Amino acid sequence: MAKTKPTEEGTSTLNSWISEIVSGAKVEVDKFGTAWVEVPVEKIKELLSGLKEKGYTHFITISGVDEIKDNKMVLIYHVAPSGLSGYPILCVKTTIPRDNPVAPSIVDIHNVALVYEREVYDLLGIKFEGHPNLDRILLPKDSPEGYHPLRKDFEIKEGE
Amino acid sequence: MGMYVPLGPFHPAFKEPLSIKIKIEGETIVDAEIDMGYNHRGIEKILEKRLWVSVPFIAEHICGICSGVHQMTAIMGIERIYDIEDKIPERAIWIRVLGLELERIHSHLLWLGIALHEAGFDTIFMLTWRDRERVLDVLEILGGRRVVYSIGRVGGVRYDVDDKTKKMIIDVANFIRERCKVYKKYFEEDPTLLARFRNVSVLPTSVAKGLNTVGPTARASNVPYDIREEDGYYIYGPDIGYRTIVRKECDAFAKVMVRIEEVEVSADIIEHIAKNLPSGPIEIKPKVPHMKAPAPGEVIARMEAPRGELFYYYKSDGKPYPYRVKVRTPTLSNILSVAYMAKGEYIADVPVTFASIDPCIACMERVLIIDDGKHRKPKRMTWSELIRYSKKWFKQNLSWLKQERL
Repeated sequence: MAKTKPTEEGTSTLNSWISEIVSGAKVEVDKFGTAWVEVPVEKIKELLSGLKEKGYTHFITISGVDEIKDNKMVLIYHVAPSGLSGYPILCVKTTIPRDNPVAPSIVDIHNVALVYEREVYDLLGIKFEGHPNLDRILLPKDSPEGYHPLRKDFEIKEGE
Repeated sequence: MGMYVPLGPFHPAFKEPLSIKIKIEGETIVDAEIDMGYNHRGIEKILEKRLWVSVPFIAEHICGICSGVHQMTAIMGIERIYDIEDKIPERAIWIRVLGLELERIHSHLLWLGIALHEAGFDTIFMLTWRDRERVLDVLEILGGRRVVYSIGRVGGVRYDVDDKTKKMIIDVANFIRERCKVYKKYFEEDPTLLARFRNVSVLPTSVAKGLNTVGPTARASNVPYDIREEDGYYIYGPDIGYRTIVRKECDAFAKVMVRIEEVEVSADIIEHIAKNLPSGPIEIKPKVPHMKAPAPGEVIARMEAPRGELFYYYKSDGKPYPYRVKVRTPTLSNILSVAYMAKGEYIADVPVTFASIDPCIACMERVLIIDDGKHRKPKRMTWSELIRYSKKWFKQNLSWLKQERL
């Protein structure tokens, strides 16, 4: 049981897989057994497809965070191993500028990202280059330009 | 060639609002497009304005069926943020698992009824919902309410389990196991049911893996992926009677059988818990103060909901309320597979195909759109406009009603 509980061997192997693709990136495992790594945005596709070949096939979701104080947006890609034992759940963080939030689409690697990327675009306004149908998914299709409720400067008005 | 048939957003075959546009040639579906967003309530934004300790009590309103697992996953993340996860008393953990498994039983029975209702077999729909009441009675004792039961709270659980409840749980477990045998027999022997479920909405293993399906949808397509086994959170393991259920048929029939067998597994687990519940406190002392601000940081938490993997992400910036909460529900992960499965099927099979993933739209979309009847496009109204509109509507329509009655 508890296949995703990281062993030392699993963590070091994961570290070597990641440092092969992104030099200098180091995995940190927190006390709850989740691995965190920060990579530049250009490397995200290469890293996720490399990890998919190694066994990180289960794509959980994309979380977007609006860091308004630092004028940046953070995207976190959560991936989990499938069929491996001793390897932790991995959260890959990447930072993009808040004024022009653009990230590459990973639809060709994980097909399910079709819906997750649309959700992040809808609620946070991050554009994904290469997405076949980047449209609003949860909010009405005729919502005004720049209407992204999960941004921190979004004000909730009466009746909305 | 071919023509488009819109199904929904409000359609007798769907229990929740969702729009499916299907392209048909004759009776066969050649393409399907899914449009959602009819039930988005902005809960993630609401949670950013609430105290950490009150987050679970709002998170459970995301879903009206699997409210317990939403609350427990929210609590798991918050206990990690406060760094008290390893201090939770054992008895509290056991009672949480009891709640989670009772919820799985009632959710699967509810689904079984709806799936059969979609197939046109309303007798079993009535029977499964009658059986489900027994489970809801136990949940009412555990939490105080039937549907949104709030069993847990940050640091433990709210109510203890006494001997009378334990006996009731063992009775329910035996009753459910007997009923499962009956339902299995219906599905294995009844030719009408087999005709509606066998070789319908087939999801091959490779596609199920490729589309990242989760929960019973994946396990019915021979993908043994269960978070209870993967993460082994709380007390889940073979010694409490847990086992992963996998079926190889990949069709709607397999999805039914996986869920019935999972109900049996859950019945074993609740019986084991009722017989071996450890003694001790049910909450940490002292309690987590309401205004306590946790250290800045990020955590994730995930659990196996009745429909599949439920995922929470939290970010704290050192204030008494969250900076960001992200919820990923299982239906969003499974929705792409509906479009795949519908292709090549007959129109009559759409309700069964759609029901086979056990969709929960309320979970998936978490704003309110009001159509005032005059505008073709959905219109967003302000609160005062809405009040004025409703007063006007009732004045007009009620006067008409009164005349009709006279």
